[in-house]
Amino acid sequence: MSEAPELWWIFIAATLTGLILVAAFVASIVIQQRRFLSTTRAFGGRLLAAQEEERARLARELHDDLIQRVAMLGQELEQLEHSLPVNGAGIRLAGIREELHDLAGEIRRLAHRMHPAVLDHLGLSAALVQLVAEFEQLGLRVDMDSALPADAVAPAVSTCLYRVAQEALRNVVRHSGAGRAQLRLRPDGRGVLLEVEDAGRGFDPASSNARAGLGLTSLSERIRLVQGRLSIRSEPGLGTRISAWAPAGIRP
Amino acid sequence: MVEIPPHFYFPIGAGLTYAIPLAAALRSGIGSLPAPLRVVSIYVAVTLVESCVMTWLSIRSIENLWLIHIFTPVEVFLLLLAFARLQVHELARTMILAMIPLFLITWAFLLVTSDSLADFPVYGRTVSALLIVAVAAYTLLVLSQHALTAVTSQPWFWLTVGLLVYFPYLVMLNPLSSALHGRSEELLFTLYRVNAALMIVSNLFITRAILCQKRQSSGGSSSPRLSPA
Repeated sequence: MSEAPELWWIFIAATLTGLILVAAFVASIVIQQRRFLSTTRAFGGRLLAAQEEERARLARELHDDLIQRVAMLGQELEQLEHSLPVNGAGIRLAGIREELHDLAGEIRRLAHRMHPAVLDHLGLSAALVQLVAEFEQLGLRVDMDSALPADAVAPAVSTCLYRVAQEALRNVVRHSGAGRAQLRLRPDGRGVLLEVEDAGRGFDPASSNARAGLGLTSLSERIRLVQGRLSIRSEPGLGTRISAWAPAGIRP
Repeated sequence: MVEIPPHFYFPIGAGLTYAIPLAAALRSGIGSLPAPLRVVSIYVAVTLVESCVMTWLSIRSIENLWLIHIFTPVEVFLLLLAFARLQVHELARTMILAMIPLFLITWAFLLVTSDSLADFPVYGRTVSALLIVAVAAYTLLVLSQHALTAVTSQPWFWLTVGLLVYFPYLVMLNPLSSALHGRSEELLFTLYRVNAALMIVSNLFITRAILCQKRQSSGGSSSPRLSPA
Protein backbone atom coordinates (compact mmCIF):
# COMPACT_ATOMS: atom_id res chain seq x y z
CA MET A 1 0.00 0.00 0.00
CA SER A 2 3.09 2.19 -0.22
CA GLU A 3 2.12 3.55 -3.63
CA ALA A 4 -0.77 6.02 -3.76
CA PRO A 5 -2.46 5.15 -0.42
CA GLU A 6 -5.36 7.51 -1.14
CA LEU A 7 -6.12 5.49 -4.30
CA TRP A 8 -6.15 2.27 -2.28
CA TRP A 9 -8.67 3.72 0.13
CA ILE A 10 -10.88 5.03 -2.67
CA PHE A 11 -10.73 1.63 -4.31
CA ILE A 12 -11.55 -0.33 -1.11
CA ALA A 13 -14.33 2.07 -0.13
CA ALA A 14 -15.90 2.06 -3.60
CA THR A 15 -15.76 -1.74 -3.89
CA LEU A 16 -17.23 -2.31 -0.43
CA THR A 17 -19.93 0.32 -0.99
CA GLY A 18 -20.90 -1.32 -4.28
CA LEU A 19 -21.03 -4.80 -2.75
CA ILE A 20 -23.05 -3.57 0.26
CA LEU A 21 -25.53 -1.77 -2.02
CA VAL A 22 -26.02 -4.86 -4.20
CA ALA A 23 -26.38 -7.10 -1.12
CA ALA A 24 -28.90 -4.70 0.47
CA PHE A 25 -30.90 -4.47 -2.76
CA VAL A 26 -31.06 -8.26 -3.19
CA ALA A 27 -31.78 -8.87 0.51
CA SER A 28 -34.63 -6.34 0.54
CA ILE A 29 -36.18 -8.04 -2.49
CA VAL A 30 -35.89 -11.49 -0.92
CA ILE A 31 -37.30 -10.31 2.43
CA GLN A 32 -40.20 -8.40 0.86
CA GLN A 33 -41.08 -11.29 -1.40
CA ARG A 34 -41.03 -13.77 1.50
CA ARG A 35 -43.30 -11.49 3.52
CA PHE A 36 -45.66 -11.13 0.57
CA LEU A 37 -45.71 -14.90 -0.04
CA SER A 38 -46.33 -15.70 3.59
CA THR A 39 -49.23 -13.21 3.73
CA THR A 40 -50.83 -14.43 0.51
CA ARG A 41 -50.37 -18.08 1.49
CA ALA A 42 -51.93 -17.53 4.90
CA PHE A 43 -54.80 -15.69 3.26
CA GLY A 44 -55.14 -18.36 0.56
CA GLY A 45 -55.11 -21.08 3.19
CA ARG A 46 -57.88 -19.41 5.18
CA LEU A 47 -59.86 -18.85 1.99
CA LEU A 48 -59.57 -22.49 0.91
CA ALA A 49 -60.39 -23.76 4.40
CA ALA A 50 -63.45 -21.47 4.55
CA GLN A 51 -64.51 -22.64 1.10
CA GLU A 52 -64.24 -26.30 2.09
CA GLU A 53 -66.10 -25.64 5.34
CA GLU A 54 -68.90 -23.85 3.50
CA ARG A 55 -69.12 -26.62 0.91
CA ALA A 56 -69.34 -29.24 3.66
CA ARG A 57 -72.04 -27.23 5.46
CA LEU A 58 -74.09 -26.81 2.29
CA ALA A 59 -73.64 -30.49 1.42
CA ARG A 60 -74.84 -31.47 4.92
CA GLU A 61 -77.87 -29.18 4.64
CA LEU A 62 -78.71 -30.53 1.21
CA HIS A 63 -78.36 -34.09 2.45
CA ASP A 64 -79.94 -33.81 5.89
CA ASP A 65 -82.69 -31.32 5.15
CA LEU A 66 -83.59 -30.89 1.50
CA ILE A 67 -83.31 -34.54 0.48
CA GLN A 68 -85.35 -35.64 3.53
CA ARG A 69 -88.07 -33.13 2.73
CA VAL A 70 -88.20 -34.22 -0.90
CA ALA A 71 -88.36 -37.86 0.25
CA MET A 72 -91.22 -37.05 2.64
CA LEU A 73 -93.07 -35.26 -0.16
CA GLY A 74 -92.59 -38.38 -2.27
CA GLN A 75 -94.06 -40.57 0.49
CA GLU A 76 -97.06 -38.28 0.90
CA LEU A 77 -97.62 -38.33 -2.83
CA GLU A 78 -97.43 -42.12 -2.80
CA GLN A 79 -100.08 -42.28 -0.06
CA LEU A 80 -102.24 -39.82 -1.99
CA GLU A 81 -101.71 -41.89 -5.13
CA HIS A 82 -102.96 -45.05 -3.35
CA SER A 83 -106.05 -43.24 -2.05
CA LEU A 84 -107.04 -42.10 -5.52
CA PRO A 85 -108.67 -44.28 -8.17
CA VAL A 86 -106.41 -45.26 -11.08
CA ASN A 87 -107.35 -42.52 -13.49
CA GLY A 88 -105.72 -39.47 -15.10
CA ALA A 89 -105.00 -37.73 -11.77
CA GLY A 90 -103.40 -40.88 -10.24
CA ILE A 91 -101.16 -41.40 -13.25
CA ARG A 92 -100.11 -37.75 -13.10
CA LEU A 93 -99.30 -38.10 -9.39
CA ALA A 94 -97.13 -41.15 -10.15
CA GLY A 95 -95.26 -39.05 -12.72
CA ILE A 96 -94.69 -36.24 -10.18
CA ARG A 97 -93.47 -38.81 -7.63
CA GLU A 98 -90.95 -40.13 -10.18
CA GLU A 99 -89.77 -36.56 -10.85
CA LEU A 100 -89.32 -36.02 -7.10
CA HIS A 101 -87.31 -39.24 -6.89
CA ASP A 102 -85.03 -38.02 -9.69
CA LEU A 103 -84.74 -34.62 -7.98
CA ALA A 104 -83.65 -36.28 -4.72
CA GLY A 105 -81.01 -38.24 -6.64
CA GLU A 106 -79.76 -35.06 -8.32
CA ILE A 107 -79.53 -33.22 -4.98
CA ARG A 108 -77.66 -36.19 -3.48
CA ARG A 109 -75.14 -36.12 -6.35
CA LEU A 110 -74.75 -32.34 -5.98
CA ALA A 111 -74.14 -32.70 -2.24
CA HIS A 112 -71.60 -35.43 -2.92
CA ARG A 113 -69.76 -33.31 -5.48
CA MET A 114 -69.64 -30.40 -3.03
CA HIS A 115 -68.24 -32.49 -0.24
CA PRO A 116 -68.24 -36.30 -0.29
CA ALA A 117 -69.42 -37.43 3.16
CA VAL A 118 -67.59 -40.71 2.64
CA LEU A 119 -64.35 -38.74 2.93
CA ASP A 120 -65.19 -37.87 6.54
CA HIS A 121 -66.67 -41.25 7.45
CA LEU A 122 -64.64 -43.87 5.56
CA GLY A 123 -61.47 -42.03 4.57
CA LEU A 124 -59.59 -41.08 1.41
CA SER A 125 -59.36 -44.52 -0.24
CA ALA A 126 -63.11 -45.11 -0.06
CA ALA A 127 -63.83 -41.59 -1.35
CA LEU A 128 -61.46 -42.17 -4.27
CA VAL A 129 -63.20 -45.46 -5.11
CA GLN A 130 -66.45 -43.49 -5.41
CA LEU A 131 -64.75 -40.80 -7.44
CA VAL A 132 -63.34 -43.41 -9.84
CA ALA A 133 -66.83 -44.92 -10.22
CA GLU A 134 -68.17 -41.46 -11.14
CA PHE A 135 -65.51 -40.99 -13.81
CA GLU A 136 -66.11 -44.49 -15.16
CA GLN A 137 -69.70 -43.45 -15.77
CA LEU A 138 -68.27 -40.71 -17.99
CA GLY A 139 -66.44 -43.35 -20.05
CA LEU A 140 -62.97 -43.12 -18.48
CA ARG A 141 -61.48 -46.42 -17.38
CA VAL A 142 -59.47 -45.88 -14.20
CA ASP A 143 -57.12 -48.52 -12.79
CA MET A 144 -56.96 -47.74 -9.10
CA ASP A 145 -54.31 -49.04 -6.78
CA SER A 146 -54.62 -47.99 -3.16
CA ALA A 147 -52.70 -49.31 -0.20
CA LEU A 148 -53.80 -46.89 2.48
CA PRO A 149 -55.64 -47.60 5.74
CA ALA A 150 -58.91 -45.65 6.23
CA ASP A 151 -57.67 -43.43 9.06
CA ALA A 152 -54.11 -42.95 7.78
CA VAL A 153 -54.54 -39.34 6.69
CA ALA A 154 -55.66 -36.19 8.53
CA PRO A 155 -58.98 -34.73 7.23
CA ALA A 156 -57.37 -31.61 5.72
CA VAL A 157 -54.88 -33.73 3.78
CA SER A 158 -57.64 -36.15 2.67
CA THR A 159 -59.70 -33.28 1.28
CA CYS A 160 -56.65 -31.81 -0.44
CA LEU A 161 -55.61 -35.09 -2.10
CA TYR A 162 -59.23 -35.84 -3.04
CA ARG A 163 -59.46 -32.47 -4.82
CA VAL A 164 -56.14 -33.13 -6.59
CA ALA A 165 -57.41 -36.52 -7.83
CA GLN A 166 -60.72 -34.95 -8.86
CA GLU A 167 -59.03 -32.18 -10.86
CA ALA A 168 -56.45 -34.53 -12.39
CA LEU A 169 -59.11 -37.03 -13.56
CA ARG A 170 -61.26 -34.18 -14.83
CA ASN A 171 -58.26 -33.00 -16.90
CA VAL A 172 -57.81 -36.52 -18.29
CA VAL A 173 -61.45 -36.55 -19.46
CA ARG A 174 -61.44 -32.98 -20.80
CA HIS A 175 -58.01 -32.57 -22.32
CA SER A 176 -55.90 -35.74 -22.61
CA GLY A 177 -57.97 -37.67 -25.13
CA ALA A 178 -57.03 -40.86 -23.24
CA GLY A 179 -59.72 -43.42 -22.45
CA ARG A 180 -57.76 -44.89 -19.58
CA ALA A 181 -55.92 -43.58 -16.52
CA GLN A 182 -54.08 -44.95 -13.49
CA LEU A 183 -54.67 -43.70 -9.98
CA ARG A 184 -52.25 -44.79 -7.28
CA LEU A 185 -52.38 -43.97 -3.58
CA ARG A 186 -49.77 -45.23 -1.16
CA PRO A 187 -47.88 -44.31 2.00
CA ASP A 188 -44.55 -42.66 1.19
CA GLY A 189 -42.21 -41.90 4.05
CA ARG A 190 -44.07 -39.74 6.56
CA GLY A 191 -46.74 -38.87 4.06
CA VAL A 192 -49.02 -40.07 1.33
CA LEU A 193 -48.31 -40.11 -2.38
CA LEU A 194 -51.10 -39.77 -4.90
CA GLU A 195 -50.36 -40.29 -8.58
CA VAL A 196 -52.67 -39.86 -11.54
CA GLU A 197 -51.23 -40.90 -14.88
CA ASP A 198 -52.50 -41.08 -18.42
CA ALA A 199 -50.98 -41.83 -21.81
CA GLY A 200 -52.88 -39.06 -23.57
CA ARG A 201 -51.74 -36.10 -25.61
CA GLY A 202 -49.83 -34.37 -22.78
CA PHE A 203 -48.86 -30.71 -22.65
CA ASP A 204 -45.92 -28.43 -21.96
CA PRO A 205 -45.84 -27.86 -18.16
CA ALA A 206 -43.77 -24.69 -18.70
CA SER A 207 -46.63 -23.00 -20.53
CA SER A 208 -48.39 -20.64 -18.16
CA ASN A 209 -51.57 -20.83 -20.28
CA ALA A 210 -51.63 -24.61 -19.96
CA ARG A 211 -51.12 -24.38 -16.19
CA ALA A 212 -53.97 -21.91 -15.79
CA GLY A 213 -56.30 -23.84 -18.10
CA LEU A 214 -55.69 -27.11 -16.29
CA GLY A 215 -56.20 -25.63 -12.83
CA LEU A 216 -52.63 -26.62 -11.90
CA THR A 217 -51.90 -23.35 -10.13
CA SER A 218 -54.76 -23.85 -7.68
CA LEU A 219 -53.68 -27.48 -7.16
CA SER A 220 -50.15 -26.30 -6.38
CA GLU A 221 -51.53 -23.84 -3.86
CA ARG A 222 -53.74 -26.48 -2.21
CA ILE A 223 -50.81 -28.85 -1.86
CA ARG A 224 -48.53 -26.12 -0.59
CA LEU A 225 -51.04 -25.26 2.13
CA VAL A 226 -50.73 -28.73 3.62
CA GLN A 227 -46.95 -28.48 3.26
CA GLY A 228 -46.85 -31.00 0.44
CA ARG A 229 -45.33 -31.09 -3.03
CA LEU A 230 -46.90 -31.28 -6.46
CA SER A 231 -44.95 -32.52 -9.43
CA ILE A 232 -46.19 -32.55 -13.01
CA ARG A 233 -44.40 -34.56 -15.65
CA SER A 234 -45.78 -34.12 -19.11
CA GLU A 235 -44.64 -33.73 -22.67
CA PRO A 236 -46.75 -33.15 -25.74
CA GLY A 237 -47.69 -36.56 -27.12
CA LEU A 238 -46.23 -38.50 -24.19
CA GLY A 239 -48.98 -38.33 -21.56
CA THR A 240 -49.08 -36.76 -18.13
CA ARG A 241 -48.28 -37.81 -14.60
CA ILE A 242 -49.39 -35.68 -11.68
CA SER A 243 -47.85 -36.67 -8.35
CA ALA A 244 -48.97 -35.08 -5.10
CA TRP A 245 -47.19 -35.83 -1.86
CA ALA A 246 -48.52 -34.56 1.46
CA PRO A 247 -47.53 -35.27 5.06
CA ALA A 248 -50.12 -37.65 6.49
CA GLY A 249 -50.72 -35.92 9.77
CA ILE A 250 -50.67 -32.22 8.99
CA ARG A 251 -53.51 -30.24 10.53
CA PRO A 252 -53.43 -26.61 9.33
CA MET B 1 7.24 -22.35 -23.95
CA VAL B 2 6.06 -19.00 -22.60
CA GLU B 3 6.20 -18.57 -18.84
CA ILE B 4 3.07 -17.14 -17.19
CA PRO B 5 3.81 -14.53 -14.47
CA PRO B 6 2.42 -15.70 -11.05
CA HIS B 7 0.19 -12.62 -10.64
CA PHE B 8 -1.69 -13.75 -13.78
CA TYR B 9 -2.65 -17.15 -12.33
CA PHE B 10 -5.75 -16.03 -10.44
CA PRO B 11 -7.25 -13.78 -13.18
CA ILE B 12 -6.55 -16.48 -15.80
CA GLY B 13 -8.15 -19.13 -13.58
CA ALA B 14 -11.17 -16.87 -13.01
CA GLY B 15 -11.60 -16.38 -16.76
CA LEU B 16 -11.69 -20.13 -17.17
CA THR B 17 -14.57 -20.43 -14.67
CA TYR B 18 -16.93 -19.46 -17.53
CA ALA B 19 -16.49 -23.13 -18.38
CA ILE B 20 -18.51 -24.06 -15.23
CA PRO B 21 -21.89 -22.58 -16.33
CA LEU B 22 -21.15 -23.71 -19.87
CA ALA B 23 -20.57 -27.28 -18.67
CA ALA B 24 -23.82 -27.10 -16.65
CA ALA B 25 -25.70 -25.90 -19.74
CA LEU B 26 -24.18 -28.61 -21.92
CA ARG B 27 -25.01 -31.24 -19.33
CA SER B 28 -28.62 -30.03 -19.11
CA GLY B 29 -28.78 -29.85 -22.91
CA ILE B 30 -28.69 -26.29 -24.22
CA GLY B 31 -31.61 -27.04 -26.54
CA SER B 32 -33.81 -28.07 -23.63
CA LEU B 33 -33.18 -24.83 -21.71
CA PRO B 34 -35.68 -21.97 -22.01
CA ALA B 35 -34.79 -19.22 -24.48
CA PRO B 36 -33.25 -16.77 -21.93
CA LEU B 37 -30.90 -19.41 -20.52
CA ARG B 38 -29.99 -20.60 -24.02
CA VAL B 39 -28.84 -17.05 -24.80
CA VAL B 40 -26.95 -16.90 -21.48
CA SER B 41 -25.24 -20.20 -22.38
CA ILE B 42 -24.09 -18.67 -25.67
CA TYR B 43 -22.89 -15.63 -23.70
CA VAL B 44 -20.76 -17.73 -21.32
CA ALA B 45 -19.36 -19.73 -24.26
CA VAL B 46 -18.39 -16.54 -26.12
CA THR B 47 -16.92 -15.02 -22.92
CA LEU B 48 -14.90 -18.17 -22.30
CA VAL B 49 -13.44 -17.96 -25.80
CA GLU B 50 -12.73 -14.24 -25.26
CA SER B 51 -10.98 -14.97 -21.93
CA CYS B 52 -8.85 -17.67 -23.53
CA VAL B 53 -7.82 -15.44 -26.44
CA MET B 54 -7.11 -12.54 -24.03
CA THR B 55 -4.92 -14.82 -21.92
CA TRP B 56 -3.13 -16.24 -24.94
CA LEU B 57 -2.36 -12.75 -26.25
CA SER B 58 -1.41 -11.51 -22.80
CA ILE B 59 1.12 -14.23 -21.99
CA ARG B 60 2.75 -13.62 -25.36
CA SER B 61 2.89 -9.91 -24.53
CA ILE B 62 0.70 -9.10 -27.53
CA GLU B 63 -1.64 -6.11 -27.22
CA ASN B 64 -5.09 -7.44 -26.24
CA LEU B 65 -7.14 -4.46 -25.08
CA TRP B 66 -8.76 -4.17 -28.53
CA LEU B 67 -10.48 -7.48 -27.81
CA ILE B 68 -12.39 -5.99 -24.84
CA HIS B 69 -13.60 -3.19 -27.14
CA ILE B 70 -14.80 -5.68 -29.74
CA PHE B 71 -16.35 -7.98 -27.14
CA THR B 72 -18.37 -5.23 -25.39
CA PRO B 73 -21.20 -4.92 -28.00
CA VAL B 74 -21.39 -8.72 -28.30
CA GLU B 75 -21.81 -8.99 -24.52
CA VAL B 76 -24.47 -6.26 -24.42
CA PHE B 77 -26.33 -7.81 -27.36
CA LEU B 78 -26.47 -11.28 -25.78
CA LEU B 79 -27.32 -10.17 -22.23
CA LEU B 80 -29.99 -7.68 -23.29
CA LEU B 81 -31.49 -10.33 -25.57
CA ALA B 82 -31.66 -12.73 -22.61
CA PHE B 83 -33.21 -10.04 -20.37
CA ALA B 84 -35.71 -9.05 -23.06
CA ARG B 85 -36.93 -12.64 -23.14
CA LEU B 86 -37.36 -12.65 -19.38
CA GLN B 87 -39.69 -9.66 -19.29
CA VAL B 88 -43.35 -10.04 -18.38
CA HIS B 89 -44.37 -6.68 -19.84
CA GLU B 90 -44.34 -6.28 -23.60
CA LEU B 91 -43.29 -2.62 -23.33
CA ALA B 92 -40.26 -3.48 -21.20
CA ARG B 93 -39.26 -6.20 -23.67
CA THR B 94 -39.49 -3.78 -26.60
CA MET B 95 -37.55 -1.11 -24.70
CA ILE B 96 -34.74 -3.52 -23.85
CA LEU B 97 -34.53 -4.74 -27.44
CA ALA B 98 -34.48 -1.13 -28.61
CA MET B 99 -31.52 -0.48 -26.29
CA ILE B 100 -29.35 -2.88 -28.33
CA PRO B 101 -29.08 -0.74 -31.50
CA LEU B 102 -28.98 2.41 -29.36
CA PHE B 103 -26.03 1.03 -27.44
CA LEU B 104 -24.27 -0.05 -30.64
CA ILE B 105 -24.54 3.51 -31.96
CA THR B 106 -23.28 4.92 -28.64
CA TRP B 107 -20.43 2.41 -28.52
CA ALA B 108 -19.36 3.21 -32.08
CA PHE B 109 -19.54 6.94 -31.34
CA LEU B 110 -17.49 6.57 -28.13
CA LEU B 111 -14.95 4.38 -29.90
CA VAL B 112 -14.44 6.97 -32.59
CA THR B 113 -14.46 10.04 -30.33
CA SER B 114 -13.21 9.04 -26.85
CA ASP B 115 -11.95 5.47 -26.55
CA SER B 116 -8.92 4.01 -28.24
CA LEU B 117 -8.48 0.38 -29.35
CA ALA B 118 -4.97 0.45 -27.88
CA ASP B 119 -6.15 1.58 -24.45
CA PHE B 120 -8.64 0.48 -21.78
CA PRO B 121 -12.27 0.85 -22.98
CA VAL B 122 -12.96 3.57 -20.41
CA TYR B 123 -16.24 4.92 -21.78
CA GLY B 124 -17.81 2.14 -23.86
CA ARG B 125 -17.33 -0.57 -21.24
CA THR B 126 -18.56 1.68 -18.44
CA VAL B 127 -21.73 2.54 -20.36
CA SER B 128 -22.30 -1.14 -21.18
CA ALA B 129 -21.82 -2.19 -17.52
CA LEU B 130 -24.21 0.54 -16.32
CA LEU B 131 -26.79 -0.59 -18.87
CA ILE B 132 -26.54 -4.22 -17.80
CA VAL B 133 -26.73 -3.33 -14.08
CA ALA B 134 -29.84 -1.19 -14.68
CA VAL B 135 -31.61 -3.85 -16.75
CA ALA B 136 -30.63 -6.67 -14.33
CA ALA B 137 -31.90 -4.69 -11.32
CA TYR B 138 -35.15 -3.81 -13.11
CA THR B 139 -35.66 -7.45 -14.14
CA LEU B 140 -35.02 -8.69 -10.60
CA LEU B 141 -37.43 -6.15 -9.15
CA VAL B 142 -40.25 -6.81 -11.63
CA LEU B 143 -39.99 -10.60 -11.72
CA SER B 144 -39.83 -10.81 -7.91
CA GLN B 145 -43.17 -8.97 -7.81
CA HIS B 146 -44.71 -11.58 -10.13
CA ALA B 147 -43.19 -14.68 -8.49
CA LEU B 148 -45.62 -17.00 -6.73
CA THR B 149 -42.85 -19.09 -5.18
CA ALA B 150 -39.66 -18.15 -3.30
CA VAL B 151 -37.44 -16.05 -5.57
CA THR B 152 -34.43 -18.13 -4.55
CA SER B 153 -35.97 -21.11 -6.36
CA GLN B 154 -36.10 -19.15 -9.62
CA PRO B 155 -33.33 -19.28 -12.27
CA TRP B 156 -33.78 -15.59 -13.13
CA PHE B 157 -33.00 -14.66 -9.51
CA TRP B 158 -29.57 -16.33 -9.62
CA LEU B 159 -28.89 -14.99 -13.10
CA THR B 160 -29.68 -11.36 -12.22
CA VAL B 161 -27.89 -11.54 -8.87
CA GLY B 162 -24.85 -13.09 -10.60
CA LEU B 163 -24.71 -10.18 -13.03
CA LEU B 164 -25.39 -7.64 -10.27
CA VAL B 165 -22.42 -8.96 -8.32
CA TYR B 166 -20.00 -8.56 -11.23
CA PHE B 167 -21.12 -5.71 -13.49
CA PRO B 168 -21.22 -2.83 -10.95
CA TYR B 169 -17.51 -3.46 -10.45
CA LEU B 170 -16.95 -3.26 -14.21
CA VAL B 171 -18.41 0.24 -14.13
CA MET B 172 -15.30 1.46 -12.35
CA LEU B 173 -12.77 -1.17 -13.47
CA ASN B 174 -11.73 0.30 -16.79
CA PRO B 175 -11.64 3.99 -15.81
CA LEU B 176 -9.58 3.05 -12.74
CA SER B 177 -7.32 0.75 -14.75
CA SER B 178 -6.69 3.53 -17.19
CA ALA B 179 -5.94 5.96 -14.36
CA LEU B 180 -3.64 3.52 -12.53
CA HIS B 181 -1.77 2.27 -15.58
CA GLY B 182 1.85 3.29 -15.08
CA ARG B 183 1.03 4.91 -11.73
CA SER B 184 0.39 2.06 -9.33
CA GLU B 185 0.93 -1.39 -10.81
CA GLU B 186 0.36 -3.04 -7.42
CA LEU B 187 -3.12 -1.52 -7.13
CA LEU B 188 -3.83 -2.34 -10.77
CA PHE B 189 -3.14 -6.02 -10.13
CA THR B 190 -5.29 -5.92 -6.99
CA LEU B 191 -8.07 -4.37 -9.07
CA TYR B 192 -7.93 -7.37 -11.42
CA ARG B 193 -7.70 -9.85 -8.56
CA VAL B 194 -10.95 -8.48 -7.09
CA ASN B 195 -12.42 -8.52 -10.59
CA ALA B 196 -11.43 -12.19 -10.87
CA ALA B 197 -12.99 -13.05 -7.48
CA LEU B 198 -16.28 -11.36 -8.44
CA MET B 199 -16.19 -13.11 -11.82
CA ILE B 200 -15.94 -16.49 -10.07
CA VAL B 201 -18.88 -15.66 -7.74
CA SER B 202 -20.90 -14.42 -10.72
CA ASN B 203 -20.21 -17.60 -12.68
CA LEU B 204 -21.23 -19.74 -9.72
CA PHE B 205 -24.53 -17.86 -9.52
CA ILE B 206 -25.12 -18.30 -13.27
CA THR B 207 -24.36 -22.01 -12.88
CA ARG B 208 -26.92 -22.14 -10.05
CA ALA B 209 -29.47 -20.52 -12.41
CA ILE B 210 -28.89 -23.22 -15.03
CA LEU B 211 -28.95 -26.07 -12.49
CA CYS B 212 -32.05 -24.59 -10.86
CA GLN B 213 -33.82 -24.69 -14.23
CA LYS B 214 -32.60 -28.23 -14.88
CA ARG B 215 -34.00 -29.42 -11.54
CA GLN B 216 -37.36 -27.80 -12.27
CA SER B 217 -37.50 -29.36 -15.74
CA SER B 218 -36.67 -32.89 -14.65
CA GLY B 219 -38.66 -32.71 -11.44
CA GLY B 220 -41.65 -31.04 -13.02
CA SER B 221 -41.91 -28.77 -10.05
CA SER B 222 -45.10 -26.94 -9.33
CA SER B 223 -43.22 -23.62 -9.25
CA PRO B 224 -43.60 -21.23 -12.13
CA ARG B 225 -40.56 -21.52 -14.33
CA LEU B 226 -38.36 -19.12 -16.17
CA SER B 227 -40.84 -17.53 -18.53
CA PRO B 228 -40.12 -18.77 -22.03
CA ALA B 229 -40.32 -16.13 -24.70
